[in-house]
Amino acid sequence: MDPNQANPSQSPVLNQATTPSPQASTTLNTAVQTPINSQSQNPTPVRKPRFLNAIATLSLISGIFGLLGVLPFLLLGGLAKLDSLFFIGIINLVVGISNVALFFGLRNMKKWALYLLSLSTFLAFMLVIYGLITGFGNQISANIIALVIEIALVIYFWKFRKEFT
Amino acid sequence: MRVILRITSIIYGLYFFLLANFFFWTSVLAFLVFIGQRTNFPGIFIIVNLILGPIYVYISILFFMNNKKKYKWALIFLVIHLVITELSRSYMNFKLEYTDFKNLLFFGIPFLIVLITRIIENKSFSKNVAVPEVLPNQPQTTNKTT
Repeated sequence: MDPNQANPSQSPVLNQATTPSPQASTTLNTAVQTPINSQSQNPTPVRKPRFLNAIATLSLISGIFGLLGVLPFLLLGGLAKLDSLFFIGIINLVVGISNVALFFGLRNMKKWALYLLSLSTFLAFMLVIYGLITGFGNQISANIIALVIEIALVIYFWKFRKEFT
Repeated sequence: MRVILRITSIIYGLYFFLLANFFFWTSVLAFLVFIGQRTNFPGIFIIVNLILGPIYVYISILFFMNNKKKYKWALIFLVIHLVITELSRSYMNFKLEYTDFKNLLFFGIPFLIVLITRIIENKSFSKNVAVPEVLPNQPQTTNKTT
């Protein structure tokens, strides 16, 4: 006789497990269905920050236009053997991909998107500081205003950090 | 089959990315060339290509991310682009020329390829639907109660 084949008459515990009584199955059904029903009736509302979708859409648009600028820089930098243009193309590629990823992450309320937004704001802050010190770039005042708005938004989003999964 | 479909979606993503760059930058160059001239200014083509270029980038992103809506977006915007191009050409001159045939091939071949891939993907995934052997409220979970 195969030891793996258990005789139902000799093993009451196994017998109970495989052939449940109707009462047990009904209690199980209610036990399984109750949390699902309670979830569907009273779903916990997810609080979304007010400007989340707008910021996500703006990041998608900037990412798309950043990605459109990748190929010309890479081609020109590669063909003319200009490392600076090639480097700008690579930077555009990274920034574009991160902006697009930010769109999908913010839309799905992912925590990594919040960290990415904070990182990009920090990098923009550093760039503005660098511009103020060395005079690098133009429209410094406009950049400062944009940075202040961005920092305010990041602080506002961080208040909702528990809602991000 | 899943791997082949993933590879094809990456190829489509690259194709749409190149298409987007082609339309966007050629329309930018055309705009710079024609802006100083008073001759036939093909404004509608330039504006349409400038708008559809970023949309093609979005479609390429959908293909790279293997989004469910990728085929729908690609098919719709290829048709929209062909229709707008042909309508604006027929508005300018009512003759059916060799260029119209080339436009039909340019947008029609990718449209057909994407459509065939969509059909193949739908068929392959409809066959591979996993049927659960044990339903949720069935005796398998009774061990917890006993």
